Amino acid sequence: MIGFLRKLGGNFFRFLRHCGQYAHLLIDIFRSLRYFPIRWNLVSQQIVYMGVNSLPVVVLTGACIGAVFAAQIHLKFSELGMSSGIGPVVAYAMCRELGPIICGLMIAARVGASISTELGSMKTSEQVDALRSMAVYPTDYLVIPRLLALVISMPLLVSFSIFFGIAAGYMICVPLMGVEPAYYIHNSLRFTGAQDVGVGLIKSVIFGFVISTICCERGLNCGHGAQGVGKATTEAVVSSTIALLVCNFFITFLLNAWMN
Amino acid sequence: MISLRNIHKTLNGQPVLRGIDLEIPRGETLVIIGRSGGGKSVMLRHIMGLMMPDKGEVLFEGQNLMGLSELQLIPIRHQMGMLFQNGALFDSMTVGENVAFPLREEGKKSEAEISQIVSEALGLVNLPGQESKMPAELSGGMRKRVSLARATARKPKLLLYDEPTSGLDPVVSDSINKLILHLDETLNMTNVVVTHDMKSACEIGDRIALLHHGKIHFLGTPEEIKSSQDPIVYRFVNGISDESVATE
Repeated sequence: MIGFLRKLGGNFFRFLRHCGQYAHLLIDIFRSLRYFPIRWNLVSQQIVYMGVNSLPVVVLTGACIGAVFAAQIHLKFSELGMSSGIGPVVAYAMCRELGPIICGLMIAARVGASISTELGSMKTSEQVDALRSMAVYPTDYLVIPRLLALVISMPLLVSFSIFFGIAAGYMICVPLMGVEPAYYIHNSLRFTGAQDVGVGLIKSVIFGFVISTICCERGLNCGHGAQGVGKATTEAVVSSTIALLVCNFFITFLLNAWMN
Repeated sequence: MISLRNIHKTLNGQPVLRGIDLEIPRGETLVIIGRSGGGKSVMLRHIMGLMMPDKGEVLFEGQNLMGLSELQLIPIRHQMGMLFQNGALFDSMTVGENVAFPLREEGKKSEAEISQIVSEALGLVNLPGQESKMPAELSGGMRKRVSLARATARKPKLLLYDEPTSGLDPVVSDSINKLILHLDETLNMTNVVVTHDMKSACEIGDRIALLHHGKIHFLGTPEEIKSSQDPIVYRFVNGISDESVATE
């Protein structure tokens, strides 16, 4: 019992420490944006690495989810004689939920892991201290370009995810399941609007911010050696994934309340 | 130039520095020696402002670094350079880009001037024409030389060396020592060198400080340390362990 309580207390204090370190990084980000010009050359490099190179995986997962979702919806909607409603449901779900969240999870896994490993390795090999010794502010040089790159890339990636998800849903329902294309397209356009795409894009920007900041924080505060870097990477991916899902829940309610 | 006053530092509940008092005048090469894990690198990091003491003051040209933020430390760090134990070269950049990095960050020189300085700095450390190599392609000694070129490219007033010869064979170690002496003559900087290599210490140091149990136990010239009869100094200089090996 004492052992359990000790472990619980230890985890709680570790969580508090992480929260403190995260808050410290956020303050540092705003300070850095205030005092230093943005390094657009580094931002563009990161956009290529995080955004352009992530495109295939985002397109593939978006398309797969769209296709599977459409197939499942078709199964029930056709029983109820509501086949004409499949298109709008797929489009609505892809824009508001599936597109942003699946893309966010893939980016947290692919890019988030890479950010925390890279910064963690830099920290353990004293490269972060070397930056400081050369009068370079690590947040300005390491965090801001990654943050901006992901905040800029995420809406574009989510747009691709949504587009290919809807397209894959169409390919499943119309040519394969025999749904009438005119109804599918007409109803999709009728019941899905710019507002729904907007919700997805707002979420994508917030997800980009959450993933980049959590993974940078974990990388810059990683422990010693290879074990420390490995642990930080695991924590970064797990924390950003959970944060993404929790944020998604609250953003959904806030945006729905605001739009209604 | 640098004053350390009553510096105390505890790391992970373990007191590492227990009241360091040290004055380093301009132009001097001070060597800090001591056993591994004795707090030498921690002391160096305090001088650079990479660590802040729990108690005490670090003064650089009369300015107290204690309590300064990272932003406030930036102009002070422009006057310093540091050679890290493992080089700490940016592994995503070439040798040339590594050496040019502090100059580009300073933003005061044109690309042509930077290129010229990089060539000169690499020439000074006997690595001419190696600009396009990646750090992963270099040996340990070469990495330290590149790191030295990077640290001196901006011609800082103060250069800090963290174990410049550790892990190197005696011949390469000797060449690094000669390089430090050469840079000292050429650039006329103040140097603080952390090492546990007595040969190096005596070759390059104007004064040597022995760190023992978190305090400066001895401070004197290389001749004074060699002739010291203090048992701790004597054992360190002559490499005699005070621990006995358990035998059956």
